[in-house]
Amino acid sequence: MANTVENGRGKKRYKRLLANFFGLPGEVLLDLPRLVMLGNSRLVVENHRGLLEYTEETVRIKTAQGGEIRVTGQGLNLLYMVKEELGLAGRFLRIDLPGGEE
Amino acid sequence: MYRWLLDFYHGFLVVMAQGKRLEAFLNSAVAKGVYLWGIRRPAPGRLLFRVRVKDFPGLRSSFRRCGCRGKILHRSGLPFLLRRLLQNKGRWLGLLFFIAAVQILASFIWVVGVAVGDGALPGEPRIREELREIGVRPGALRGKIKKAHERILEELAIAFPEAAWINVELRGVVVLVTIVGKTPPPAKEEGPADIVAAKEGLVSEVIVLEGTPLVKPGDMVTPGDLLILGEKVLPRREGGFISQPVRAEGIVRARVWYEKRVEEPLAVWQPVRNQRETVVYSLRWRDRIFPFYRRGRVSGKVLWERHTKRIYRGRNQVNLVELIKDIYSEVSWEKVRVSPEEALAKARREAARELSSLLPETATVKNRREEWEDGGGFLLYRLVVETLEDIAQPAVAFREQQEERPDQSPNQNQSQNESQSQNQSQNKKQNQETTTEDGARQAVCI
Repeated sequence: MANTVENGRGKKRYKRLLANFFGLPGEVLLDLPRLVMLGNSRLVVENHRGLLEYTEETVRIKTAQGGEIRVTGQGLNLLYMVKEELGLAGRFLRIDLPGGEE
Repeated sequence: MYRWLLDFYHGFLVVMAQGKRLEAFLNSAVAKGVYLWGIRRPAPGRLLFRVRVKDFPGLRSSFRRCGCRGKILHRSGLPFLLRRLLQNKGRWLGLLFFIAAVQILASFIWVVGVAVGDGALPGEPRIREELREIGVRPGALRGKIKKAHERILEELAIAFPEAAWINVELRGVVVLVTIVGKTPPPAKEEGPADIVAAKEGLVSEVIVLEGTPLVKPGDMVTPGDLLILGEKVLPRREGGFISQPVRAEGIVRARVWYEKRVEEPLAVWQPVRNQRETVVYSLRWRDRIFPFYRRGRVSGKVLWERHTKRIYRGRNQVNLVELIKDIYSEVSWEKVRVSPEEALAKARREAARELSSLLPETATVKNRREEWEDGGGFLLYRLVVETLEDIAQPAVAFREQQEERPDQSPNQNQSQNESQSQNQSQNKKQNQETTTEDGARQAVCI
């Protein structure tokens, strides 16, 4: 188990080194989510893995490697949703990116 | 915008999903590559979203797997709109009826317009009557008129031989008939006539085609002087001479002098614009002008300029709607000196312009003399042009009128002749007049 974790961390480290060395985008190589915000009313999340929770106050978005983005606000609604991307609108009060995301 | 047009073109559904695992349903649908938009949570356990029509069948397995139920609330887009239109037969019938009515009404002639041009032509009622007989009348079939266009033109030409040009134009439901009459050439004047001088000049050449010349080269004549007498003197068989009235014809070339004097000021008052101006924008429709914007304010003397821009020409190609920009600039008048050279050039132009209207086309300029002097604040310019031209001009012989009034006594006739001769400054011999059997007027020289 420890080996697996170590191996996983090692793989990720190599990927990061590779991305840094060649100047490649992190979201492609490291499977990181890409967030684009327009003020505090529009949010586009790319490279997501689906929704965990969707209410008018809270939207939880699953990301790769067990990560989660939590958006808290008022009158939240999904503008559109496709496999790789979703658009969110409303009045954002808080966006949490748990420690898993780098 | 593009996305919305595409969705409208393909048609989309507004769907309400109900269940507990709605997030799982969304993830499942998206994983299948379905595009969802307008996703809202109106209430707990309910989800509203939009999806394209072709993607909806693929959502059934997702509904089933997540334990949700889906219900179509609304169908929108072009396919549904067309289906609704096709289902409503009454509307289609109404549309067809409308198109048919327009088509039928447009196949008839409604108005016959007649435009009569210059020339000796009968009045408009007569032309309308003729057109009605030919078949050009309100209510006639448009196609029939179109087919019979040549025949109509021919029949009109026969009916109105005095017409020089006939046109029958079909403009929609209007037939416009234009007829222009012939303009006959001026009738050739006949009867005895003399030739008199039209202008003052020095005779240089006399060519007599008919009549008796009364002047010779070197004579000075004034306007009205008799040049060629409208009489031909023939010897009589019995002795003596017989004078027969004729229409005098001939060419009398003379040197004619034209003089033109021009006074050109050496100082003029000119308006000089200030910076202040008022600009007024107006819209003209037909004869009415509607000002709608004004900028600036001026007082005192102003210079007015107008610029127009056509907006709409109208059906008849007249400027129906125009944008007008009026500029009122404040001006102050200043005295500006004009150089003698400039004044001379201006005077030359002015004199030449005025003389050009006096000189006949057939005149040949032989000599040109100009002189100028400073006349105290003015430049006095004088231009003299000498030309060689034909000054012969026919004049009706007044004796003809005497014959038409035989009730007048010979004394009266003679006195009238004398007075007219005086008016024309003619020096004629006094002849004793007799009348022959055939009515021709004869005179025997004593």
